[in-house]
Order: sequence, then C-alpha cells, then structure tokens
Amino acid sequence: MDSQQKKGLLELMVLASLKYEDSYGYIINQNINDVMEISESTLYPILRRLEKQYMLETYQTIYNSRVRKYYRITKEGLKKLKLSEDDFREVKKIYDFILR
Amino acid sequence: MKRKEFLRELKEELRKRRDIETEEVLFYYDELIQDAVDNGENEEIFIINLGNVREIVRRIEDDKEFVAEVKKTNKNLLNDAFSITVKLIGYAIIILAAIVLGSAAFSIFVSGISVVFASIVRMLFAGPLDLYGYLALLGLALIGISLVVFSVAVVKWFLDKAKPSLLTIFRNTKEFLNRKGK
Repeated sequence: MDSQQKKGLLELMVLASLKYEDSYGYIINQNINDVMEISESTLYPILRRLEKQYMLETYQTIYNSRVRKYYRITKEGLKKLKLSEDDFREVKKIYDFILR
Repeated sequence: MKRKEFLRELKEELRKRRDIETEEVLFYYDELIQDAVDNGENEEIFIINLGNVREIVRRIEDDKEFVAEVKKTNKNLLNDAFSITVKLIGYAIIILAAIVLGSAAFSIFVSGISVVFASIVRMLFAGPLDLYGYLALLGLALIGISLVVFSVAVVKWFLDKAKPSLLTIFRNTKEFLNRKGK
C-alpha cells in the first residue's frame, strides 16, 4: 500500500480506536499495530495533526506518579469517522466485486 | 540506549528546528517509553525500534507543512465566504492604514535622524562644552536613535501583519492593469 494512502487510513484508524473510549499513546499504538504494522514514531505526527484539526482533544492524568496524556475524540472527529464509514461501505462493495 | 539518553539526543535534534514544539514531542516520547517499560517491554529494544532521532524529527517536520496547508485552505474558504464588497472595503482600509502609518513612521524616522545629526553637529563644531552639556547631547542623540528604531519597528510590524493582504492587493492591481492594457 502506498504511504499516502496509509497515512489517510491511519488517521481514521486512530479516530476509530478512540470511538468508544479515551486512550493514550502506547495503547493506541498497540491497537493499531494489531491490524497494520507501524513504527511507534509514525503515530505522533498523526495524533498531533488530528488534534490541530480539532478531531481529538487531550487531557492529562497521573499514573504511577507521572503524567499521562489521554486522547478523546471530539464531535468533529466522530463526524469525520461517520462520513468515512459511509465511504468505506461503498468501497467495500467495490472490493467485494473485484475480489469475488 | 536508555530513555534518558534517547531523550537527550532527541532534544538536541529538536533544538536545531525552532518551529517544532520541543517540549510536547519530548513529553510524548518520554511517556511512550515509560508506558512500554511498565508493560514489560525491553527499554533498549523499544528505543531502537523508535528509529533514529533525525528520522523522527524529519517526520514531524514533513507533517508541519501539512498542518500549515490545512490552515491555509481553511482561511481560503473563509475568504471565499466574504463578499467582494467587504473585501474591497477591507483593502481600502489597509491601504489607508499603510499610508497613514507610513507617513507617520517616516516623519518620526526623519526627526530621529535630525535629532541625532543635530546633536553630533553641536558636539563637533560648537566649541567646548562642560560635562553636562555633553551628557545632554548624548541623551538627545540616544533619543534620536530610539525614534529611528521605533519607526522602523512599526513599519516592519505593519508589513508582517499586512503582508498577505498587501500582496493580494498588489497582484490584483497588476492583473487589473494588464487586462486594461490588452
């Protein structure tokens, strides 16, 4: 898969991984790695980009007497996710046709 | 390589690029490594897998351009939403501001220069003065210099703020004149 395509998909994967619960860097990375192999340093620019686009917001909690940054999906992010889900259903039909 | 050492290298690499939020990046990687270790991963192997710091910084930098692009397109959308009339009024105000500010800054600049010049001339050619006389002239010259610096700073500040608009005005005017010429 080419890298541009991967980048776009990664954004959606991050949003999807936060759809039901807030999470933090390490765990988001692990969740995504179950499906698509990425290096840890791939994630940071994506998280930051989503935050700048107001798709994610962050807050900090204390864990083991150190600060941990949690990411939460915003309304904007959920909207984007919903749109792409519709797209994917359409694309899935096409792929199903090709792979039949 | 251990966490502290990795973070130090990363910090050094980040320091070369002033436009990246150093603390934020360091915080992210610090947290990531500690979480990995808490989760039972081997610290050194995890850090090797992060890749070298130059690559990490390069990726962030590549993405910065994207962020800037997003901002720009948002701004363009906003611009399109404005009617042409509003834009023209806005441009007229900017041009007016440029003229007023420019002439004010210019006169402050000139008076600054002349104050400096006058005090130098007085010092050199008007015969011996007592200490207080020299001090007063020195003070006067310093006031002149600060006026000059102030006026230049004002003009620079205005140009920085209004640069995009001024460029647009300039381009539109040129296009308009070209069209007329044909």
